[in-house]
Amino acid sequence: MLSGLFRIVPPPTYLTMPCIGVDISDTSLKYLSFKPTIFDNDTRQIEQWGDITIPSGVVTRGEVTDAKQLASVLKEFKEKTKAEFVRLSLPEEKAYLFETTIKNNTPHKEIRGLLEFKLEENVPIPAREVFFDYSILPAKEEAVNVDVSVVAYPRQTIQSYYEACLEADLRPVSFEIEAQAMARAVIPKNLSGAAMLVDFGKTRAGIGIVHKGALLYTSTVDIGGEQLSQVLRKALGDKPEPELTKIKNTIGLVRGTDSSLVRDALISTLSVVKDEIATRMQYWHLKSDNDEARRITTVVLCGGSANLKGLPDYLSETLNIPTVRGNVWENAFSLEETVPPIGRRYSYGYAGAIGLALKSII
Amino acid sequence: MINLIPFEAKKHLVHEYWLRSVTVWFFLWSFVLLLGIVILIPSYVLINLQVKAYTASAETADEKNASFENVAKELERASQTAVALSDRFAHPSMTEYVSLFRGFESNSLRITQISLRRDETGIKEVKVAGTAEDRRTLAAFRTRMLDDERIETVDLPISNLAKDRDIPFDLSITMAKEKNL
Repeated sequence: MLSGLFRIVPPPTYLTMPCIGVDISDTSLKYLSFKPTIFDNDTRQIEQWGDITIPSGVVTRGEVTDAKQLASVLKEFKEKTKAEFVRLSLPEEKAYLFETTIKNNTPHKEIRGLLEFKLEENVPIPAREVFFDYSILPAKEEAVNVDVSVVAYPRQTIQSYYEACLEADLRPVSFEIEAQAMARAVIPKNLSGAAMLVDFGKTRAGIGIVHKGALLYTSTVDIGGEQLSQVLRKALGDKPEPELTKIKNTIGLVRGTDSSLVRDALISTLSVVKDEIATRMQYWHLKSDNDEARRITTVVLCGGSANLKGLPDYLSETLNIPTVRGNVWENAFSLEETVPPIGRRYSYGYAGAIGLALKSII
Repeated sequence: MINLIPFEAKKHLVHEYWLRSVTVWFFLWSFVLLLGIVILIPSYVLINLQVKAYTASAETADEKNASFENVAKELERASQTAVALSDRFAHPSMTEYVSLFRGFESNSLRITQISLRRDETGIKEVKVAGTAEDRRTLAAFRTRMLDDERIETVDLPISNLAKDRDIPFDLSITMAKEKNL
């Protein structure tokens, strides 16, 4: 009834506190926001988007190493966007994810207490030094137990991002794992089974497994676009980064008619990524007791380095699971109705920011 | 939905949200109030003008009423005066009574005092005092008065006849009501 009322008389923007999704990685800050819509089924339109380079050494493997510098980057962001409220992604490297079960219909007040006990079994740091939150996975009403996905972060990590935001006069509305935000953007809502999300970034590849819309597993492989550029430099000689990027995106893993130099150079590094993905996949299937409902049915690629030519085909062939580059606008709007201002090639890097901007509940 | 924001930040956000909610409600109600005022202004002006017109009309009516009351009071007073005057002229004057009793005097009988008592119907009681030379004179005086149809009774006390000569008398006389002087 209330939602019906909100359809007729939508709450004012001042009350909905519109936020900008901010995805902070080691090398860049990407942001995106949608224009506030009155109705749920209104076509979303991008309001602001962009990226700001984060100097090297400010965020290292997800850890804020120079808080002042990060605050100045956030200040630059604030100046550009005039944002007040932000939704921030947190690095997967520092996250502890585990899945547990609790009795169905356990009161919410008790759930946190129960999970605090389980934290000690699953997280290698004392419970008082972590921030955690949970999400109850959809289950049948008559089920005795329900699965709960729990995410924990060291208090210090969250506090460092929070304080940087406050220093930049920004009000964080939510913090969540980058992979969860990406999943919200790229994983189709009606997907059956589980999906593996591979965020192929500049310095690392994040691997996440999403089931029933919840991120249940996350892992990081320290290989990214930069490592691919390094092996290409070794094979092709010293070339500027834009040229190497062009080679990766135009030749990539496709075997050339004259030479397969680029492919051979890349494949040795990529096979490591592939093996890591396969290992995680195997672990997941074993952990799920080969439950068909939890079986990974697709691998979705995103992240700036997902543009590598031939990567989806290579992974499909070697992993024997359909692999696609994710449509970052999958849950935002239909590409048949809206032409996004961000080109497809660049859009993979914005998956996290888009997912954050899509979140509408605090 | 997982949200790893620090607890204090969550509290601040909730506080901020409620503050904004209250502000929005306050603004909304102020707007409604303002709108109500704007809508009611024409009616207010109209009613105010009507009230003023009615007040003025009531004041005029009051003034008229007050003058009517004054006139009524004057009329009442005039009426009372008229009644008093008509009462006065309906009965004979004292002088006429004095003249009547003076007419019964003779050389041997002198009236020294006439006392008249009047009520709303006329002269109620008359007392005549004087001196008579002898009893015969006094009796004749009484008889003369009784012979007059305007006088009903003449009460001569026995004590007045105690002396033989120079008799002081004090008569009580009742006038005949229906008779005019």
